[in-house]
Amino acid sequence: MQRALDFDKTPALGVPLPFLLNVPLFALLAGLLATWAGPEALASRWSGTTLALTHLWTLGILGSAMLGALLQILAVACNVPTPGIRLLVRWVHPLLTTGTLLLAAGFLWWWSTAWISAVLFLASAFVLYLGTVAWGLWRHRQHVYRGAREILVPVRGALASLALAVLLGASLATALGLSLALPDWLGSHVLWGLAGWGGLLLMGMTFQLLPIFQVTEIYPRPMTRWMPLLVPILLLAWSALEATDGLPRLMREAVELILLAAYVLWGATTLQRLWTRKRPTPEATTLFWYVSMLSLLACAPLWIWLTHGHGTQASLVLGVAIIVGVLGSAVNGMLYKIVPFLLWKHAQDSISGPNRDPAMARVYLKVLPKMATYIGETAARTQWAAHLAMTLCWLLAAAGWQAARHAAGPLLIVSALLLAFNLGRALLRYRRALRAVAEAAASHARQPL
Amino acid sequence: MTAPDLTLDVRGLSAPQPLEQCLEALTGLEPGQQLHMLIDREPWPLFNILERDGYEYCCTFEETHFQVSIWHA
Repeated sequence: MQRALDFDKTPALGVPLPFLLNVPLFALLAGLLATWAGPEALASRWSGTTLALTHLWTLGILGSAMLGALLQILAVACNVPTPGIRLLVRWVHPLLTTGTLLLAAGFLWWWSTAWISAVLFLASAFVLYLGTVAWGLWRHRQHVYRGAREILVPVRGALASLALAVLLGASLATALGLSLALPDWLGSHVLWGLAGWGGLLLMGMTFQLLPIFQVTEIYPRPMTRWMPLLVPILLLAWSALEATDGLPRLMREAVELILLAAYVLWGATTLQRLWTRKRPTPEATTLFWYVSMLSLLACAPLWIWLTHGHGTQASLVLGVAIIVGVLGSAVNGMLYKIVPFLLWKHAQDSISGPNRDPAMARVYLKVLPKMATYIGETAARTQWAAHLAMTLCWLLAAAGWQAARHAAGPLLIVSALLLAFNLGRALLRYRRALRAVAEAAASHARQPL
Repeated sequence: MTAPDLTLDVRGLSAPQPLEQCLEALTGLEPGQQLHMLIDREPWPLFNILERDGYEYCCTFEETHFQVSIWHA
């Protein structure tokens, strides 16, 4: 099935943009925290600073971007508009942002009030978001585009995984806040959050967006059909095994191995698709995809190290590879497509009207920037280089290299500032374009007939 | 005399470059002249714009790509 997008269904710019702009802001905050904490920041996965950093990454950076982008994708790729979308964003964005900051504060200062408040804010944000999106999916189930049915399966799986990860996480944070014994489902919380929500959503997006925006071959049909079903089944099996006493650890490891193999197969297919794409020169987004998928392949040896090695840092390195390498790179790279595309689309909309005068259309085409000029390729590639250096440094820091632990925070700050600068400049260009359109229209109207 | 038809090959370009190039080419399209665009995917967003702006079009699948022919209504 060929891939297509219906740009006319694009929601208002104010819908995805606040979520997307959270990315550089939370990256900057995480960089500042890692710099302030110094080498302790990545010393152990159980330290308060590491947990605060983890949630700044997963909720502030990845979560924000994925929630915002999903609203956009559901509308343009699946014909599933979210009901009351402006109102939803007005509530969910501040709740998510404040809740994430409170959760990080709770971990940093081991502060029960912050944990309980974070649970209230985040639970409200996710209940509102998931409830409304689920309602939209149900209401528009008959009108879904034919070519989009394959991505709706991973999207539904991702949303169900998010609901579970939030439920498990909220109960863990509540237990912390009320000083109760921690329930034994941390593994499930992590797995549903990263492999379920993060992995499935990314997988669905690649099925739909890579052929369109990277001009690749479409994915093999058995993969698009079965992989999004296999992953949730494996996650359910893993959680059931985690909750059951007495079953051999080997069974859980077997499930992990199949899950890993499934993701590695998808990662290898994506790399093959990118390598053989029709355009020989990679764009910045393509480079981010390479980092993301290579990080995914690196998870295989890291998992073997985790399950059969003796290093205490293995789980931390694996976590950094997934959060910063796989998901962080994909989100960062997608911003270079989504943001310029949204700005270009909304600038185009500002000149739309029935039966445009061809002379006026020529004037508009001169004043409206092309999508590629919103963020220059050199600027995007520079930030990619900073992101790559930061990712490698975070991996080395997690592995225990002392010098990398000192550099991890500052490198994230550099990458976040470059990203903020690139996005900020694109927004400025958009505002200038709107002004130029208004001036061109006024000057055209003043011309004698 | 009608100006010769135009051909625009946007195969291998990522979205929204085909749309951008087509809109640019349409500004030079004269009455009676046709623009033949060769493209990898069926350009649904373009069809809406063409209908809105008073063009007619015909889209055919040519084994490896689509050809969209556009002219003034």
